[in-house]
Amino acid sequence: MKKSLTLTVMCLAALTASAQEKADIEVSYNYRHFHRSGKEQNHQLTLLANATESKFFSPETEFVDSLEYTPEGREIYNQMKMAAFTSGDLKSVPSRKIPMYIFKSKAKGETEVYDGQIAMMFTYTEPYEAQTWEIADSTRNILDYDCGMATCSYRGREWTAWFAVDIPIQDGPWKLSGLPGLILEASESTGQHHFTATGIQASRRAMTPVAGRDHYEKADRITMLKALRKFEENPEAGLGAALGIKLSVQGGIKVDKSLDFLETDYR
Amino acid sequence: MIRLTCILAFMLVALAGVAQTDVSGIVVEEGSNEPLTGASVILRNPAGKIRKYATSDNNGRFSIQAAETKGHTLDVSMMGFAKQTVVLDSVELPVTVVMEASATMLKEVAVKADRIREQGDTITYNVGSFAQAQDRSIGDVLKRMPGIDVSNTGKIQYQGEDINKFYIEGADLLGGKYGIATNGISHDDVGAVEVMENHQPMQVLSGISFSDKAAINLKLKNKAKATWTFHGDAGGGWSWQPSGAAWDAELFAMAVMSGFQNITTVKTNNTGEDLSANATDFFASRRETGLSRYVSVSLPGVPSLSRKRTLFNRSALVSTNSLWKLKNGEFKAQVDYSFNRVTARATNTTTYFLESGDRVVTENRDGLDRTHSLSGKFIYEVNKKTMFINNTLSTNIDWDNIRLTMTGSLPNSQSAYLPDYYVSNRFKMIKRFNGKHLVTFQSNNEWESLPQTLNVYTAGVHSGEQRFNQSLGNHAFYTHESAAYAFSVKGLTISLEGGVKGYLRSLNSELPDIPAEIAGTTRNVLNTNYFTLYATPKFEYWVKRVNFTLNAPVSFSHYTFDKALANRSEVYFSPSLSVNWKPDNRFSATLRGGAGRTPMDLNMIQPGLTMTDYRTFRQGVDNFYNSTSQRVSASLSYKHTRHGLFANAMVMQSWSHLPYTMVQRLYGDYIVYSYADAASDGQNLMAMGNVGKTLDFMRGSVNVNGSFSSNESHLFSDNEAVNSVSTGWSIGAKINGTPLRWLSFDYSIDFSEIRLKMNSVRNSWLSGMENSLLINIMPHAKWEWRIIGEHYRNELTSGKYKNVLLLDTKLVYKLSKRIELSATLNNIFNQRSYNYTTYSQLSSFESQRWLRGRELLFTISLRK
Repeated sequence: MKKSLTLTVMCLAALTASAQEKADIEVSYNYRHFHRSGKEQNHQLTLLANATESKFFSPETEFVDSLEYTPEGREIYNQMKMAAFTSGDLKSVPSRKIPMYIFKSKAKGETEVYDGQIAMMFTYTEPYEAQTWEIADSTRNILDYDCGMATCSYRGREWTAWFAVDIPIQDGPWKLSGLPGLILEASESTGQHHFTATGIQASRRAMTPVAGRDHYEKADRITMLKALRKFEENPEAGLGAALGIKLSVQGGIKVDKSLDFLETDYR
Repeated sequence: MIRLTCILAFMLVALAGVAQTDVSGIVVEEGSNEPLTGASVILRNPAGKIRKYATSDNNGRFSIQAAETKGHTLDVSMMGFAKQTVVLDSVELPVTVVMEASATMLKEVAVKADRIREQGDTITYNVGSFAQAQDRSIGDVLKRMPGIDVSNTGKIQYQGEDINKFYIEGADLLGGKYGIATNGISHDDVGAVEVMENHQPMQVLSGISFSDKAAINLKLKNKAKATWTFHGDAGGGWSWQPSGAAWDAELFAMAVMSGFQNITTVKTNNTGEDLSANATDFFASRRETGLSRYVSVSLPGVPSLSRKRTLFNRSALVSTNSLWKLKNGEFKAQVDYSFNRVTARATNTTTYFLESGDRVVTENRDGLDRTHSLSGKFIYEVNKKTMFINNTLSTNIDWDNIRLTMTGSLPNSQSAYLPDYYVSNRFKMIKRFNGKHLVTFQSNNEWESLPQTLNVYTAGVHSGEQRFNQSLGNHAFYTHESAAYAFSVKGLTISLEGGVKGYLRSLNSELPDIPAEIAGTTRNVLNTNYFTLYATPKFEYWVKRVNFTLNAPVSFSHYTFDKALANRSEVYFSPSLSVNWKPDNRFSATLRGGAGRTPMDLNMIQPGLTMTDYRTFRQGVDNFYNSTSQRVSASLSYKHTRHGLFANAMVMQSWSHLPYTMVQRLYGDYIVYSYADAASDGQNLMAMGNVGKTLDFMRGSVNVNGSFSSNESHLFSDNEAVNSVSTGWSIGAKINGTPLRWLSFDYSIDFSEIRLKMNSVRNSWLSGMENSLLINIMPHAKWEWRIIGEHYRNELTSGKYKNVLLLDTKLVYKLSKRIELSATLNNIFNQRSYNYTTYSQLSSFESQRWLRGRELLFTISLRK
């Protein structure tokens, strides 16, 4: 019994160790997208990657998660919220603006996704698959790197990516990967989603797992997307349900119906 | 027929199938032959175009189906390995690609979000993204961070205001002596620098009392936490001037653990760095004992070049600082010893063109100053939300010994011995109850003794041999007890502080002989004592984003002078108001104003003459005076952290009204300063601005600053009233960056002009310009070569300039991560002197000063 316990502990330790894979490179991307109201938004997202593993996330979300899911952190976070509330500067409190985390593992053949909205946080794991890219002849220079162009069709959207052969990491922003070089820019045909690299540096940062990952509800991809769509279409109801109150916003929340998620194949 | 076509078609398809080549192989690591997973494999046609690509799988294998392979190449690359190119015509498939470990050179573009981040009131600077290859300490990197300014003395300002705390991993180990940390901690051990705006160091006051000051916190990297880190340099070599052996050595140890912190440093050099500045306490409040030096013998002035060019020193510093976290609070002990020996020399030659022939007067000055300083500070502090207790016991002993010999028209030798002994204990307790009520008790006691001895020997042409020996005793004791109560309702905090202050000071001076030209008493036996009762109401009000603070101290003082002067009782009132407006996180504006009536400096009361140096004497006032003053100031700051932009500006005007005026009289070769009963109004205007911006494209930053000041004062010189206005302005810029992987640089330019106007006679503007460029070349990961050039252009008299160009170089070899060897050659051209001559119609004046000559140093640096 004792032996098996030791073994379990060792296995767990090994698991945590493998989860704490170190990156070779840290890339920051500007993610240009649109708020449901139709307002353009720009957020900073980070990709940590090595030859086989990668983690794509919002540093601000990670900061909030690290605060919320530890007792000391929560106290600091509450103080920050209180301070902001008293000074009236609510924008200064960090929040989960892009709650997404994407872990791609070529070694395990898995992609682990965390995403959601307010109180609807989901996680699912799907088999890792690289997009089927078509390499074109165009070239462009991004951040001083010569980039080649490639296109693909992926889960309802047409993507165009620019990749740098000089950075031999077959990864990129969001779920995009599998080109013979790091993807430095990616956009889809409707212009609703656009990733551009703004910084690249060598890094030995650990790809730490999501803090408080137990707080995410397990779901499959399509179910999650459908639930989030429902929220987007009627945020008042969604927000009310999340807060446990009946909420009505004067004049209603304006929603631009032409906007959609990164994946649209759930419809 | 149809059948045949079908068969042919099938055959063609089959043939085509045969023509498909399986370009396959395995990617392994050199030496171990371990398969490598995730290598990028690219098949290129003879034109270099990407035809197909793949990744090596978990067994290092890859496979690409290609219709044609003639003239094609296979590029295999992976982070951390050198790229391999395989010409397919020359190999058999499957191919084994052996990857050689090598650093993949990334053209790094700093991750923007990481350079400066903002979270609430905290701005976080990523140290790695501001450090340049030539930087060593965290202080070198702080200078490059926009918004942060580090003065030559090491004092840190954020957006134009002095910081109020310096933390290491959240603990205040060093207090105001943070120079030990900024000069000592390797930037490589620091992950991030956090600036906490509006930092209220006493938790008990948070939300009740506003602070417009910022604090700095160093976040260490994990490798420097919970362990001891060490680094040391030992350098030795030869200096051409002063001729002899040169050394520069340093040992720095730091422990940052959860319950204990320690920083210990030992440094010594004779290469031009005054180490006593390292241990300056930037948060030290003014000593209330208020003693001043009556004797002032100073070494000859040095040309306005950077100090390391002109300082002839032997310096040593030992500093050890510990912090223990106790159950409820923390205990800190800081002990420092510094030694500084400075020599300076100057020669002035004045030639008078007379009809009877030229007359040449040469004056040589040769001085030696030895300073020892020993200080200890012991602090116990509890800093909680409901309670704050701080008790600080400080002791400080300085010995200053100066010798100065002069030859010339008034040959003499002077020696001054100026020890200073100081002990103080400051106790403060604040208790917060029911969330809104505060009670404070304070008790400060200080004692200081500043005996001063001056011995002068002169052998003047007119006066013959003379000796003057002055001994002076000056002691003071100060005590201050106070209690305060504060409460806060709806954003309004009202506090009332009341207390008593007592002060006892005695002065005894004796000067048995004085030059025959001067008349007057030469003995002072004096007590200047006071007793003060005071009350300070303070109102702080928060509305929207505006904070109003009004201070209105009222005090009653009774002065006793032991019959030297009539006893006095006085009432003082000096209100001050400040308004801070912070509409959002980016912008902040502050207006301050104050007016008041203050007693004169008691050191001025002195009926008998004292000797300041060999030719200067001083006589004080024989009456008690009060002065009045007013001041207004405005400051603005703006920041946009995402763009890495920081800017601040400040303007201040002050007026002072004194009922006395300083009088300067000449008696033969001697000067006597005293005071006359005549009103004297002075004013001072000061303005400055600073803009800093990150330059992400080259991982650098730029800073532009400017200042203006104008100062008006009055003096009687031999019965003639002299109104002097000195005006000066300066502008400067700094830029640094790493534009190429193998090249980094630092460049700074400063230009300033000053003018003195006396009784509406305007002297011309005199300018000074300084350019300094450092270029660091990294031809290889292990080698660095640095070239430093400094150019000075000082205007001596109107239109006449003195140019000085100094060049240094340094070669660094990084033997391993822990060991670094370097060779430094300073002042390559061996410029040893700074001479100039100015002419007037009837005379010429030649000045000669000495510079540090060529210096060759070999240094070994080790780190753990």
